[in-house]
Amino acid sequence: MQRKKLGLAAATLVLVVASSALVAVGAATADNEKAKNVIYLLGDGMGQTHVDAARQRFVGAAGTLAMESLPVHGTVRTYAVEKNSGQPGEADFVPNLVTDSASAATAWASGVKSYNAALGIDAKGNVTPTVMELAKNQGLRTGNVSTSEVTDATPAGQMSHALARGCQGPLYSASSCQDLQITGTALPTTDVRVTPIADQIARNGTADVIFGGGLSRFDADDETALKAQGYAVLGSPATQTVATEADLAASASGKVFALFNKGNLTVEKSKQDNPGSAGALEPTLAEMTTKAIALLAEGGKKGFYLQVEGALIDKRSHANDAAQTLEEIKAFDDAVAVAKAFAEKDGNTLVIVTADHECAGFNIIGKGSYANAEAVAPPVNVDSGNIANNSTPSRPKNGALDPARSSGAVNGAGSASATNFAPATFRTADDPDSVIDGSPQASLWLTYLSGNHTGADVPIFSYGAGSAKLNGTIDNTDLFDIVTGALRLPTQPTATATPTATPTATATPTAGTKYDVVVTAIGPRRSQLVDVIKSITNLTEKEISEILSKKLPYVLLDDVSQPTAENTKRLLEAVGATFEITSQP
Amino acid sequence: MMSSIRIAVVAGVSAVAAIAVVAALVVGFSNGPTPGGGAAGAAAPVAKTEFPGLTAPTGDPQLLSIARLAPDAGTVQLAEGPFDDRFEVNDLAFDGATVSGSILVTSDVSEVINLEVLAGFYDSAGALIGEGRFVLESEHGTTDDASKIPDETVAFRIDVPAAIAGQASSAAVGVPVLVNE
Repeated sequence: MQRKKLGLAAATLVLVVASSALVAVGAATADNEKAKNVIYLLGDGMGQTHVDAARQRFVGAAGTLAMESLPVHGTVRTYAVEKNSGQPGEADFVPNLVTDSASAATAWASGVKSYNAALGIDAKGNVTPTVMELAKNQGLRTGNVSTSEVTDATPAGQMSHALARGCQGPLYSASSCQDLQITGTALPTTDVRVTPIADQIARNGTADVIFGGGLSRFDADDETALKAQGYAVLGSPATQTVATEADLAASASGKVFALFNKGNLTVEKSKQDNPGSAGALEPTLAEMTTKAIALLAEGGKKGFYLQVEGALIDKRSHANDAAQTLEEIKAFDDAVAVAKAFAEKDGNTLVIVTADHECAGFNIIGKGSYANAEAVAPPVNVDSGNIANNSTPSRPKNGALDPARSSGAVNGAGSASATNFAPATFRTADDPDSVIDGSPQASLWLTYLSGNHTGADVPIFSYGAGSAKLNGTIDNTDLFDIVTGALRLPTQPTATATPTATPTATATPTAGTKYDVVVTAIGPRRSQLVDVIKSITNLTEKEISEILSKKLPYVLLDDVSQPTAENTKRLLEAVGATFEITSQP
Repeated sequence: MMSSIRIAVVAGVSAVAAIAVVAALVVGFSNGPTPGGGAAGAAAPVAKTEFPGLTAPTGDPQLLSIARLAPDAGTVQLAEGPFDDRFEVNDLAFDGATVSGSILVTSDVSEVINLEVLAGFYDSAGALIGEGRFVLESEHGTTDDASKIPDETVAFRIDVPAAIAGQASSAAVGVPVLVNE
């Protein structure tokens, strides 16, 4: 371990701390960054091309979706990390370039990178508080609305802590709940991290309003627990009776739990095609959002935090079903319009619209053209006259259309072929009325790269107080700081500090003893840690950066008094750094 | 030799809240606003990690329907479970030693993250004499699972436990665990 003696007097440290603290408080309280309410809308799996295609389909090439009408636009990086990885900037940081919905939800809900499948914990298994928990703790009203099962990754990321997203319930199983790669040995089944997510949601009271699907995850005991906390339970988990739109309309105030399907809600296209079906009677995402806002705004003097997910954009993209995907984006955009209208009227609400990841490599190709998957070979890649174009692999012949792999639009002439990679074609708002979906005349030609997530950045649109920070490219973990900052939520120490059942010894510096303060890991807020170290040492930013990248653990202070150790401890805690304080004999 | 005392590692205390504490300590109680309404809220844990009254499970998930059934000798039945509207069972068969079939998930097309099939085995009088279990070995979360090819059909085979080999005349299968990405 490298040791560096700084010889810093405690009094000097306190004065420097005071100076930096005042600056930070002033910045955090700037009026244009505060919001009373935050509505966070997430299109699961919605990449930029999903937005583009929906625009062209529903409002035309020159049109504007509701989400696009929000004034501030940017992009979000979405990568996850591998199990047991450190945070970015730490020595043991191992990124995973393609996230799933669970690690993405943990990123924006808790401000930490985690592994695919993790919910409300970091990549080493430590429980991390969520924005919704913090909001609830500060007396704000809270809501969680989704078209998926409410135990699924996105809603669960705000109101549960689980080693594995598959631990949804109603029943515990070791295979779906435990993760020995993280914990080494199986956790006791009383540990929150292996408690079925449905059991957690029914008992932790994190969200005042819970609308969505997934009734079959909940049982009679859950219903009893919900009612004991004052929830109006629409429908019944005990009898597996789904809530209805009429139930929703009749709910007037307070805490409401309403699940409208035993599984995910019904896709919009199916509801349109089967208007007499039970699924068609489910509320739309816009209707659930309208009701949730009404319930949360009522009597919420301290404001509210509402998360709304259009989950089926992702699920239908996995299926490469462009017709259903487009309708799900439209339904999601209708919910955005509801949120925007409320925010415009309210004047004190931050609306954020984004996605967790892109799904399926959705793309728009030129009318009449074709994708590589339809061709006998990829495009030519040889130009003997220009060595700059001669990278491997070299392909001397162009990729002509392969009739076996391109038998017509998959939602038209080629629908019966299992080997058909042709695009789906859709008429747009600009096409003549005579043009129909699935025809070669339709303007919008849509292709898929895969049946799974991709690593592309996703768009973000925002409106209202605090939205200026969402201009440009941000990381998905930044959303945690931006939202908690906008709502002025004090963030919170981890509730359980260790991934295993081993208890952590705790101690407080005592008077008369000398201490060393050793930084062992950076934590989720590297830039703030740099500021802290600058404020209490004579190190330059470059030196600090080198230390944090290559020289941890690092003795930040040695032989300092108890007050100095205490103050330093507070500062390091505040930025989420990991450290040790060791006493000298 | 230095004696080491590990301080409880605290990750995530708000910079704003903690700085406010330090600011108050140094400059006294100014009239300026206190971010987050003061530090009291920050001191209380917000992630609820204990659920008094919730019975902790003691083992692998069971289905009550398995115990209630009494299938006729030579038959194999489906046992009721919480997700019966999300899948179809095809090619269900029981040869006295193994029950087999395939689960086709009809509710989603994304990756099957977790699936367990529970089998009950019965004697010639229809009495339950033993159980077996199939657990899908999902790699979800271990590597780059988000790029894994989804497969909606999962074949399963569950052998009659050795302790009751030769005694099983019928079987029933049900699904207590099913999760899609």
